[in-house]
Amino acid sequence: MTGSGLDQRVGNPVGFVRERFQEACGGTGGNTSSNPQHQHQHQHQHPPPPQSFIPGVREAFLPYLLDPSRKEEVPCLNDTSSEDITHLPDGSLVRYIGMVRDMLNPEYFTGAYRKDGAWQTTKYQDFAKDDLSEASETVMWERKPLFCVAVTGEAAWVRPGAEAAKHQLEEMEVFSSDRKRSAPDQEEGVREDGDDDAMMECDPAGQAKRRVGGKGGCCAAGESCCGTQQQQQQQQPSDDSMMEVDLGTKVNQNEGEKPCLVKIYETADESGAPAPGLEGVKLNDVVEVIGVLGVDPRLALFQSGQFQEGEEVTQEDLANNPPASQVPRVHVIVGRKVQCYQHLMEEKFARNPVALALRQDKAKLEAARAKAVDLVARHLQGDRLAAEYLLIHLLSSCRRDAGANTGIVVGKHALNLTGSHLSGKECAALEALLRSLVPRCQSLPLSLQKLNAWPLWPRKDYRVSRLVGGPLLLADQTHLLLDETQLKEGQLAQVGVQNFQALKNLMENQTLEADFQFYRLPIPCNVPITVVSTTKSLLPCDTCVQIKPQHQQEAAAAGSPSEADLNEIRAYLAHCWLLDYAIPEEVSSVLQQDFVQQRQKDPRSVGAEHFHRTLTLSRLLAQSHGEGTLTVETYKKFCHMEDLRKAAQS
Amino acid sequence: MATGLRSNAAGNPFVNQQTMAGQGRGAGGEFADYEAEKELCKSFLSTFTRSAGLDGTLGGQKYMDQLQEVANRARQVLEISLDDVLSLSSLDLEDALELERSGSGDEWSRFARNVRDNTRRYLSLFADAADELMPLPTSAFEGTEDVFDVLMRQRQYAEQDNEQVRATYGLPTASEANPSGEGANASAANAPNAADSANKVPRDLLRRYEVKIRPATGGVSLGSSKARASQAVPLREVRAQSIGQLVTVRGIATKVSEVKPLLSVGTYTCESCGYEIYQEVTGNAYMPLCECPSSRCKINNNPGKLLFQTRGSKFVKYQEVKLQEPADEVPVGNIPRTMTVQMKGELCRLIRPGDAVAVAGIFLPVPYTGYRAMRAGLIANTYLEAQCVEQLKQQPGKTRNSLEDAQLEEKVNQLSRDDDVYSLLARSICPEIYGHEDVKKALLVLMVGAPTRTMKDGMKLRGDLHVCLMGDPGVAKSQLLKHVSMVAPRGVYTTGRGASGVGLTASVNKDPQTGQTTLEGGALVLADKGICCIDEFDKMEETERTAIHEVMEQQTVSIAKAGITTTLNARATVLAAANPAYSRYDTRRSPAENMALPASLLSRFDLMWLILDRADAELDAALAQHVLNVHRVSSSASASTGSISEEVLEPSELRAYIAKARTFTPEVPRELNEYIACAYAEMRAEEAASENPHSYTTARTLLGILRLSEALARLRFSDIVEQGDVDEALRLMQMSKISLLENRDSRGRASADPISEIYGIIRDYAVRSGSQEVAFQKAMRLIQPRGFREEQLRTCLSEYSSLNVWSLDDNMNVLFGEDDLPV
Repeated sequence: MTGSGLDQRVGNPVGFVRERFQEACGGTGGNTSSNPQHQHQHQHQHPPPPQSFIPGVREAFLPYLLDPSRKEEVPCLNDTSSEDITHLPDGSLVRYIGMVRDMLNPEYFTGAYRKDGAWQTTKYQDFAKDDLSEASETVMWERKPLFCVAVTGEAAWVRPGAEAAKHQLEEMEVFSSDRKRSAPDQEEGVREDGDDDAMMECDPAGQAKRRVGGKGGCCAAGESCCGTQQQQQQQQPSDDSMMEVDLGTKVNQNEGEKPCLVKIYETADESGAPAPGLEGVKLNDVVEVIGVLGVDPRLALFQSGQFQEGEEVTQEDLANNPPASQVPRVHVIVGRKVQCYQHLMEEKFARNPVALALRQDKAKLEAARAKAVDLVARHLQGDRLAAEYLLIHLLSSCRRDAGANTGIVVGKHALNLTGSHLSGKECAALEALLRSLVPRCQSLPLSLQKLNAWPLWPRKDYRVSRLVGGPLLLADQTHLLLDETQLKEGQLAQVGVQNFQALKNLMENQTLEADFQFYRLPIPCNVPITVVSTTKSLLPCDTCVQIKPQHQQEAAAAGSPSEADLNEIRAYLAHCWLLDYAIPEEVSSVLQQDFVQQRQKDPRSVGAEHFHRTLTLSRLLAQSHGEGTLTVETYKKFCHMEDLRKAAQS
Repeated sequence: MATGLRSNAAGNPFVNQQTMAGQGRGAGGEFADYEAEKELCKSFLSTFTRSAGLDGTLGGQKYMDQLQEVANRARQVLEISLDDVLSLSSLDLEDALELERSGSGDEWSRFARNVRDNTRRYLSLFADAADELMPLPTSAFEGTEDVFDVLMRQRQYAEQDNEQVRATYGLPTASEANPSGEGANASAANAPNAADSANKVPRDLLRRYEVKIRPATGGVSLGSSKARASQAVPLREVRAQSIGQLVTVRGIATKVSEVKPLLSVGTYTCESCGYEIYQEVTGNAYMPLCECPSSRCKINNNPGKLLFQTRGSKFVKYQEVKLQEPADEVPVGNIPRTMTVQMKGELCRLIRPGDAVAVAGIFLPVPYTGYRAMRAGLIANTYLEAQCVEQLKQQPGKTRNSLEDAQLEEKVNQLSRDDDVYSLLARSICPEIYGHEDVKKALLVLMVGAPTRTMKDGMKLRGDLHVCLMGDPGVAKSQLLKHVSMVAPRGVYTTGRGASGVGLTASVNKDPQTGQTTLEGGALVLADKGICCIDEFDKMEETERTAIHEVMEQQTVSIAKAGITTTLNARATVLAAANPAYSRYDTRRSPAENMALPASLLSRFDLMWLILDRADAELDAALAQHVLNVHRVSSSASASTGSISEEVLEPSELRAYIAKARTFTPEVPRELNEYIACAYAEMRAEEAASENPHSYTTARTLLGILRLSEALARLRFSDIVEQGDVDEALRLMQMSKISLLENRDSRGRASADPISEIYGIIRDYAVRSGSQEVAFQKAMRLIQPRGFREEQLRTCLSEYSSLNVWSLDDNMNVLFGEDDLPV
């Protein structure tokens, strides 16, 4: 029984749900179906209309979400290119991972109806199989649509598949050009071991499609990378209002972003508690859902231009009902929020021998750390101090005090890498490096023209009733790389000033203010920021590190990293990021005394903020050594780092 | 079944579906007997007696009175309040609404519940009941007859003609055609020519009023916290279960459509038979009639063409409003939800874009029709049919917090008895910033403010206390500002660079939709009667700076732009924060030089404060501990704060206390005039004496002292300013000045003997106050602002007492001899 039920769940999820629904409705359906004439009499004793909660459904589908082995049975929307989506039939079970980009108004729909005396449900469907005008009774239920897109800036190695191909290619290009320039002799050997892994991830077919697809994809190295809006805007800088409407209707609906309208059925179970997994989903959250695919071509009718006379189709309708071929619907049966590193750990490194070794062997961990520092230093002209700073910065993450309403963000860190030699090229190489190490990375070149041209902060477009302006709307733990090297002298227009303020706010408070015309709402973020600039950044970075180029020879000595090495470093970063952390009492008293002393010496520059920063960076340093507690030793080591940094600056 | 038929006969079938769904839950699947319900409506309307004196009116039959007014054409709306229905019930409001599921409760609470859950049906029942109860007008209608009257008379004539015709031809008389007669069922049931019912005048056409239902709130306004506790739901919580019910939501109107006429009864005349045919329209769309359904045309088998009569039809005003969830109801990281509200009839034009309103209405679905239905699939659009609208004006002094008002009041009263409440309140401002107690006190005083006084000649003396904070970058100025704007009931936080295009004052904009020029208020105008926190005051643009002059003294903003010349009120308290011009505050220069702001602007600030981070081992240790605590908690565990922090008040409590304090209008008693004058004269003299004045002691300073004293008296919940208030005001002023003269004391004071200087201070005080006793604590407070220490005071006290200049008691209080003081 379970065996056949299993197949049905994947093959015909709607049918499975219907059966559960019939069971839940009990015998009433069967009894009354034969004689609709007596319907009115039945109404007197008829039980109340069915609840939207259907027992047994959630439990039946949960394994597909949680059990890695069962997961594979469900096709994943992320891995299929848009052409392939059309081959998946309407109503089939799919898996989707995406970040929430917008939350639309709830939809009220006819959830169940009574035809010929029997209740039928339309849950998890876009259309009913019967003509509803024949139904004798209907019940309204509601669902909540979320507009999701593929995780912005997700690195290729996280989810090997068609989507990944493009970035991989670019990375390779950057790497190889780098290599050719620096160490031609070494190239052969390194290539050998790097190739296998790399080739496996490069799907040539996928590449071709991407190329044809054109403007999709998130970031092309070096070139304009801040999301599709800016690209669009560059293409048609003519009529402002026209463009915005166009933008509104097509908000984030580009192929490469894998947009999807995820519809959540907020069903409370019998006890009234909301179904666990997706409650409290916020903007920028990454969700993984298992649900029913909705690609009925009728959904596209809004776009078709077949309007009845006198019928008004507003921009809002168009924006909220995009054609299903572009934006498929997923009616969520089960879902959960995805935490970046936790997910990475369980998906990729759970049974990885390298990752296991790191966890158990301190020496292995240190070796991995050394490799990481080497690799990073190579991209920073051999400056190992800057490499140390960048490495620990990669581990940074912030959290908010939930209890206190002070709104203080703990653990945020923004790094500023400066160096007179830095330019867009170095930036691109750095981005490629970050992309190969951390799961999510996004770069944003700041040029005067771009800052003035388009607002970076999210705002609601009331004409289409959608949130627009996403370049800074990033999922948690997306490393944001700001390239300030392009910034020239000039005048910042009003938009530019506000853009700067948005960036500043993001840096200082890790929040983005979304403009809702009559008020602004803060959106909490968690994005570590790295600013690359030729001189000290305009933005208030926590730490400014000046890159001192070392001997070119030394920097070029080692070749490019092998995929195995990269994997080790990735596992190392994930492991360190996930470490629990504590400050023992005795260490904290040392810190406290030290702080008081420092303040006596220099009250102006040593303050609470400084201390916050010290603690954050000490924590990161401890974690980078795989330590879950802060020791005085680590603190001293950090102080030493700081001294070196300050010396390098002056 | 009769009931089944009835439910289909009355108008919108779609609503009936919802009704059924709603009832399945509410009344346990029973079909209500609407005839009986109508009788209940009638008996309610005819018998409800208002309890006398409740709202200053005499008792009487509230609804019969309303109906009488309607009959006399003095009223257009019959508003039925569910509070009144519930007041007939023996149960409490909460109980009555809670008992919903059990289905118990007495008749009236059940009735009120039914009205709430099935509002649309009851609207028509109430209207029918009101028609039947409608009294004759008591006073003749004054004024000219309108089209409606003329048409009505003609219709009556036609009716009579009709009778005659019928009588002649032996057709059954349509005596039941009396429009306000027995009800539609009778005529529908026994009229053999049912088609002729179409040319019976529908009641809706005859009504000169509309029925609205006001939800039960227990007599409090819709937007208040109490109402929310009982009735109003957050916009987010309006769910599918609420369909067909009366719900109350709060929100901000983002889009307001023009007012358009909406057809409610269409009237046609037949080309061939001349009959008037009526068509009632309930939905958003209708199919115009084309063929005359009258019996005459039928008999003649020559159906005449129908011509639409615009003048004879009934239109209602119609307006669509988009309501957006208010900011405080949006969970963090969510997008505010919007809802469409339909305003009909007299409710139109009550809402303008940007208004914060509470709307009670019926939550209804509209199914898509035609092609739209094909596209939308199962989805239905929903809207709120407004029944009652209330503006939510954010009034300063009114807390809009979810905490129970009574509880807060209790706490405030308890606080006011506390001696140290002043310090406690000050500490509660921005509790995560340690120290800076005097700055916080200044901010507290700023929030309380002094009453604005209007002189007999119309001149206004502002009561707002302006404060300017200066300081090196990174001394948490912005945090203080943000906290103040959060605590203040109407706080606006902005930067000198003006985050929105409007800037600080106001701008003239063109509305993109209508093309009209509109005036948009800037931060200062928005903060009218509130606090405007301006960060980076020094980076303000020149044009804004000139406007600030006007705002800070005259409290208005004058605009002459794009053909608009106007003056807007900007009675805002300005709290400014500025960075020193040379990045570090240079104590050798004057404040004006340091801030790169003109002295005329600076003199408008009552208090200027230079915040410097001074090292203090004890405070620093506490600070370090606090920061460590914040960091120590691992990401999984919840943060445990407050282990070292002192007791502080919640922002809501602080707000409540300040709101209460603001209700007092303290006066300066005559006895204190002399004292204040002396102090002022002394300040002037001191300034004149110093070779390089760093302050501007002007008449404005004197006003500032008065304002500060009044605010301090308010904090004590007192209507009279006491000497203590003046002393504290002077102390704050001194401290603020001292903060500016930071680091200079070493230079200035090295020459002077601290002991004799302390003596001078104490003696001056004694002379000023005219008392012979100066308490030790008092002396401490006098000398502290000038940078002396306790041991210096003690030395001075003992030295001079050994010289017999004064005597000391056991507590080191100073006593002057009778003759030692000049009078």
